[in-house]
Amino acid sequence: MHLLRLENLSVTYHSNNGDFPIIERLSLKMDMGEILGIVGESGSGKSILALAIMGLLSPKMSMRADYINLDGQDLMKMSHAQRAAYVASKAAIIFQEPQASLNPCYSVSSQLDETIILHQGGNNKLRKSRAINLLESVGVTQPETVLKMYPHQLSGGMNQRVAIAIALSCKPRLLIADEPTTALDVTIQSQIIDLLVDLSKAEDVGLMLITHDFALLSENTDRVGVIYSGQLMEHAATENILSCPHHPYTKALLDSIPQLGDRHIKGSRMFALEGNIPAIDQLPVGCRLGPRCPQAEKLCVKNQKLKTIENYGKVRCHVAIAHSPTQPKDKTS
Amino acid sequence: MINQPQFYRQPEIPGTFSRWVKSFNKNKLAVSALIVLLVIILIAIFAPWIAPYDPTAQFEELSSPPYWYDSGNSKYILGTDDLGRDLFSRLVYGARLSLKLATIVVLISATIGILLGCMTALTNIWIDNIILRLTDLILALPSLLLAIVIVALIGPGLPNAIYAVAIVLIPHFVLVSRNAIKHELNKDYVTATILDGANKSRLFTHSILPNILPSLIVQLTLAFSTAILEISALGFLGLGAQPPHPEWGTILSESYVYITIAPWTVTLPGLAIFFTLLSINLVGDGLRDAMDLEK
Amino acid sequence: MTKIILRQLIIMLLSLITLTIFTFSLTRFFPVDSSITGNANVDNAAHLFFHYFDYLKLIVSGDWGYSRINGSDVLKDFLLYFPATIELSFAALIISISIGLPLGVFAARHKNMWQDKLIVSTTLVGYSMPIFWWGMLLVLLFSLTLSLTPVASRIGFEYDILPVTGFMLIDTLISNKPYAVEAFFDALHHLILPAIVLGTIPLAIFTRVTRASMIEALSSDYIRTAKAKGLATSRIIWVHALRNAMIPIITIIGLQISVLITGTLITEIIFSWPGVGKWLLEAVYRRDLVTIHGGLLAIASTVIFINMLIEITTYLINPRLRLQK
Repeated sequence: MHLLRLENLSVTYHSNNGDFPIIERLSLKMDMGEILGIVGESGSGKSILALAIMGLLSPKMSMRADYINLDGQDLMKMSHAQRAAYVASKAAIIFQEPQASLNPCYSVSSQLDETIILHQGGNNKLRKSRAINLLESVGVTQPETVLKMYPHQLSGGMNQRVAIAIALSCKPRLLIADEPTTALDVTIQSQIIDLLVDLSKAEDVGLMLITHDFALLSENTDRVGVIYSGQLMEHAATENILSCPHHPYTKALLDSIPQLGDRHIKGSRMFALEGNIPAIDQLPVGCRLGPRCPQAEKLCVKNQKLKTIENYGKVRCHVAIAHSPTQPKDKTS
Repeated sequence: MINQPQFYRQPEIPGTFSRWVKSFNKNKLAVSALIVLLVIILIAIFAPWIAPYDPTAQFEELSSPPYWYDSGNSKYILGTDDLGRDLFSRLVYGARLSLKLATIVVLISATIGILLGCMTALTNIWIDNIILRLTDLILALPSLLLAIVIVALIGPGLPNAIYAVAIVLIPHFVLVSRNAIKHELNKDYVTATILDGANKSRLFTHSILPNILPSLIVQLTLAFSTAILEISALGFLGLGAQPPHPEWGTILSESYVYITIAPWTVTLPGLAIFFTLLSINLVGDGLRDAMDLEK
Repeated sequence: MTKIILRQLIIMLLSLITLTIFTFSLTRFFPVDSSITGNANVDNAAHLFFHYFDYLKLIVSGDWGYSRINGSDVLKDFLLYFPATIELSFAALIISISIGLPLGVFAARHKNMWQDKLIVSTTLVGYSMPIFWWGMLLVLLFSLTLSLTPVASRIGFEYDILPVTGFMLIDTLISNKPYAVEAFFDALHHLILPAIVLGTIPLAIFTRVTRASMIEALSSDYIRTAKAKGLATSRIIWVHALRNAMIPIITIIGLQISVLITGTLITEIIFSWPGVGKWLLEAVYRRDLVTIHGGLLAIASTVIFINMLIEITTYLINPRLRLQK
């Protein structure tokens, strides 16, 4: 049984200058309780993917998909209101800027309370004890004090814990964390990631961890999807990707992680991919990575298809597939 | 990128000014307002050739309605007022007068205001504090009230009304230019320019000025529309241009008594003020949007 | 809390002192009345300083001089005309807020759709309307053509109402005349058109500002969180977004006090409304400098006082200012 299955999800941005694809025919699967990492540069469309699943796209964007199956129900077959209610009861999301994602005009208790009313209910006293329990479960040591405070009075890490508590209050099956640690201090980052991973394992909650930092994913995730310019470039188990990355983009991402301690070779330089991610109105023909790819060749101007490599995963690059130790099957997806 | 094969499209990056023009042109409302404004300016410039009669000449047909009325007279397109003066000629000359006065007012207040604003932003904190207190106080007061008081003290009439409105507008320029400069001064690129060894005048002309220009341009259009409104308001209250002058506000105050007999002498001059203000405000709004300025 | 109020009181006091220095120097340049400026020939700066304190003493004790035209007490005159102006401004403020706020929220929710474009262009029209012409047009249409509303004054001649509070709507109700209720509705009838004229520009501004700050609030991260929580749309808009959008709106409401007073000057002339504006303009026409001085001082102090109230309100509704780290 899959927790989340989406097939051919496309998101289009409608601007005055025409329509542009932000995500193109993206398919993903997540098992119950699985931790899936989504990695890519800024602007690759990974946050949009999260918003599309949650139904939070801005009015300037529209989405299409064959189906989006969340915990057994197809979201695409629901009405707008049904979908909003269903998603809110099954999935929750936390965002990059913890301070900005909490309402500055209301105290922690009132922001936590309104979701408890919505999803759990209970009288005043019961709800308060639930709020305290939630805050304790996300590692807040003085929940009663924090309840009375406003977001601007709390630190970034504390705000993110509150945001996680609010997300957990609906008892979600799927928790999407969109760059949950990017805005935080390095020392706090691992605390928050550990908390998310522990919560996911303890409550069997599926966790989609979206980040641009491969280092965060390596230790924690079951599988990783690499997104570039709105396309899924590679999708495989974490240990496969770490041990033998196929796609040049994945290799570039892995090579750009600084090596410290014993693994650091003195005088060696970090790898950096040249250029920038293409603007949505300036997409290259063929492979999206083409203009930046160190292995680009003539055939790359043809559209690349996501192909399955047995015992590995899926890769969208004919060069990588041709050089893969195991030949691809003819099945495309 | 240079070693890469060049079969991929390269992005074009337009300059700042052409980006403004492009963005402004997309706003159809603002472009049409600009055309209307240009027409009004042309009418003002060529008033002596456009107006069929002298604005103060009196004819025998008193309170003759515009030509589209049954009793209208095609000799006077927009009719005549209670003294038999051709309304069309008066409005055309009124455009000339209003735009001329507003330009003078804006020139005076912008020059003094921007100079003071730069002074306060770039010199020591004491002058800054004193001027800021004063501008805060003046800005807290209703501008028309202040203009009226100034006119009451130095006496009604045209030159005095201009001084009054100009004085009232100065604090806006001081505050806008001061805040814009202070805002820019805190940015890292200014520090970088100073570290590069730029002297004060170069810092101002090359780094700060281009970046505060958008705020100043928007403030100029705003001040222009305020100036027209306040001059005509003073005219309406009998404190600005005095009766034989074809000033729009003055025309309105003269004809209010005859509102039941000759309503066109009330509606048409007001329409002239309204369209001028509307087109200036629309152009100002378009500029603000085009230059990406926050309020 | 008390600290903030105290701070605002001190700021108000400083503004009032700046104001009195300003008005005092006006009385020096334009000799108003020897009764409030003391001896006109000043020989040195120290004298000027003492003169200023004498002036301040007179102002604080309520001796604002006597009108040159009819010899009446200026401060008493101001207090006599002030309620009529407040009544008119307050009615205009209520009209503009009660229409502008919902309209702005509505426009923000339909951002860039035809409803929004219609509202935005209408507000631009309202914003560019010269108020004296707008007043005349409405008089021409509603009073002279349709005969729906009276042309001038606060109440019909047939009613004899004793001024107690100075507010006609209250005075009519508390009067023990048999026609008290009728008189109240007549006063309301007289109030409606001038209030609409006066409220038009603030209405346009409120709509624009509400729209702008609602759009900003609605596009913020916490609204995305609120949506993800599964809250009802009405709660997201009226509780989460509007609460934040109100902070800039309150500031703008404060700024509109100036616009309203400018507007009353003209509206009162058009509708022969016996308020401060009409009183002050008559003094201007007759160059009654004592009255002008008193009027400027009184109106400016009122504006400064209201600004202080607004500042305190913004402190109270904004937790980020109220509870600083």
